Amino acid sequence: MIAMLGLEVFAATPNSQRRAPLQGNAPWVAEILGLTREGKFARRFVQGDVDYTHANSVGSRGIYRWYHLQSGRIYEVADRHTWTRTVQYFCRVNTDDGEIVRLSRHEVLAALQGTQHAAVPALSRGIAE
Amino acid sequence: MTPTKHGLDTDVLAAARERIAWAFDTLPRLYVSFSGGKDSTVMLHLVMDEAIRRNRTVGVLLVDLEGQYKLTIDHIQACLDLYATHIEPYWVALPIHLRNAVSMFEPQWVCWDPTRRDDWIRQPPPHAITDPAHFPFYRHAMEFEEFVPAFGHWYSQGKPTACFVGIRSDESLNRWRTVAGHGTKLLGRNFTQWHGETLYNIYPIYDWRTEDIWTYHGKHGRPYNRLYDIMYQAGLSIHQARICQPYGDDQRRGLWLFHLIEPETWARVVARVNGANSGALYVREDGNMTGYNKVTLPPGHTWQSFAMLLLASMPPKTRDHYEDKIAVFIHWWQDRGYARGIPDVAEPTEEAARDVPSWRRICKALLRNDYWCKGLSFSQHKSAAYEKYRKVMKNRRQQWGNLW
Repeated sequence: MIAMLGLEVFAATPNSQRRAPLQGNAPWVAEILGLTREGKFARRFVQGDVDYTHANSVGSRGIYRWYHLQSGRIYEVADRHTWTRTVQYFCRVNTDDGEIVRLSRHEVLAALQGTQHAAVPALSRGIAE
Repeated sequence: MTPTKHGLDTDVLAAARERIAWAFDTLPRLYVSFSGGKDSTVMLHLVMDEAIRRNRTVGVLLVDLEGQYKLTIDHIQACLDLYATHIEPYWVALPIHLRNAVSMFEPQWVCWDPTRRDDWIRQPPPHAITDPAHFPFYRHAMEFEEFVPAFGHWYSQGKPTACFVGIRSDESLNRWRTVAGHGTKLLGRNFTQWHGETLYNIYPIYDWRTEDIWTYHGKHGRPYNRLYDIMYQAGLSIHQARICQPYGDDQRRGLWLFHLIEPETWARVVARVNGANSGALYVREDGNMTGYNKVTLPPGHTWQSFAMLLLASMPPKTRDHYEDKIAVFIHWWQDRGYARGIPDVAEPTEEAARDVPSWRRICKALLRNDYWCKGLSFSQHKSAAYEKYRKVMKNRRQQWGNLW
C-alpha cells in the first residue's frame, strides 16, 4: 500500500521568486534508511511529482509536489506551511489502510535500533583551512 | 508483433489480472470507469473478480449521456445487479456539455438539460444521481472531460486512488499515446498515468486486441452488451462497432446505424439533438460533404474565398467562434515566416503533417465542423474559461486588424 503526500512549493517559478523572495529551502521528503555509525539518520531523498492544477497565475502559490510514501518505511518531512514557517516531522504509512502516521524522534530511534546502515556511510568531517 | 513492441512471457488475460492485483495491493481506493462497451465490460469483470476474491468494495462510475441505446442501458443495469454486493455505483445523469458534430446551429448540446425535460430521449433510472448538489465540484453543464477527473479527485478523498480505464492502445494513435506517452507513472509501471493530486488512471487491458476482447467474452460467458450482436448483424465488423454517444467528431460516422437498431429511440433522438437526422443521412459521405479525405474546390473559388463562403453560411455565433480560431491561426503563422498571409494551398503531405498553414486546411476544418479546430492544432477550452476567452479574443482581433 502506498500513501501520497502533497507539499506546497512556495514561489516555485523564477517570476514569483522575483516578486516575493523566499527565505529557506523548498519542502522535501527523505526516507530514513537507518542510523549511520555516528548515530545520525541515513537518508535518501524522495523525488516528487509537480502538480500545477491549483497554481496561481504567477506560480507563487498553489504548486504542489506529490510524494509516494510506501508502507513499512519511515520518512522525514519538511513541510512549508507559510512563507516563513516550515514544519519538520517524521512519519510512516500504515500497512493496512495506507494512513500516514506521525512519529516522534524517540519512536523513530526505537524503530531503527540495531539497523546501522552501512550502505550510506557518514561523510567525513570537513577540515578547516 | 512490431519491432518496437516487446512481448511479455504471458498472455494478455494473465497480464491484465496481474496488473489489477498490483493496483489492489498498492492503492487504497479504487473505482472503475464503466461505459457499457465491450472493453470496459471486460475490465469490470476482471476488476470485480479481484474485488470479490479480496472482499473489497470498488466504485463504479457511469456517466449516462441520455442519448444511449436501450440495450446498453439494460446491459449496464445487468452488470451493476450482478456485482451489487461489491460495488459502490455512481450512475450520473446530470447536465453535461457534449459535442454535437452534426450541427452548425447547436455545435454542443447538454444532456439531461432541465429546461428541455419534455424532450428527453429517455428518463434516467430512479437510482441515478440527478441532484446537482450531490457532487460539490459539479457546475451546471460542465464538459465531460472536466467532470471525469473532477469526480476522480472527489472520490479519492485525499487517498491514492486508481481509476481503471478500459482503453486499448490498438484502438487509435491517440489511445496508444495516452498509454505509452511520457506522463508520470506510478512506481515506474507503464500502464499507469498520473492525473494530479492522488489520482492515477490504470489501463489493465491496454495491450488487448479486439479479438482478445471477444475471445474473453466467448470463453467466460459473462454478460456483454447485446448491442454488438445487432451491430454485427447489421454488417459492421468487430473493429467498427462502437457504442459511445454517436454525435461526436469521430463517432458520428456510426449515426446511420441508430435508426436501424432502435427505431423507437431514434425518433426522440431526432427531436432532441439538432442535426441528428441530416447527420445520419450524409455523414458517411466523403469530400466536401463532411471534409473527410479529399476536398475539392468549387468552380470560380479560391480556397480563401471558399472559406469565406462557408463562414457566411454559418449561424452568427458559430461563425464568430470559427473566425476567432482562424485569426489566431493566421496571426501565429505571421510570426513564423508567413508575414504576408498564409497561402491558398501547400504541399498535401506537409498540410497533413500540420507543418504549414493554408486556406485549404481551414476549409477542411470548417467542412468537418471541427468545432475546437483540432485540425488547425488547437485544443479544447475549459468551459469556465470560454466566455473569458471570447472577451480576450475580441480585444486581440481589434489590435491585429484585418488578417484576411
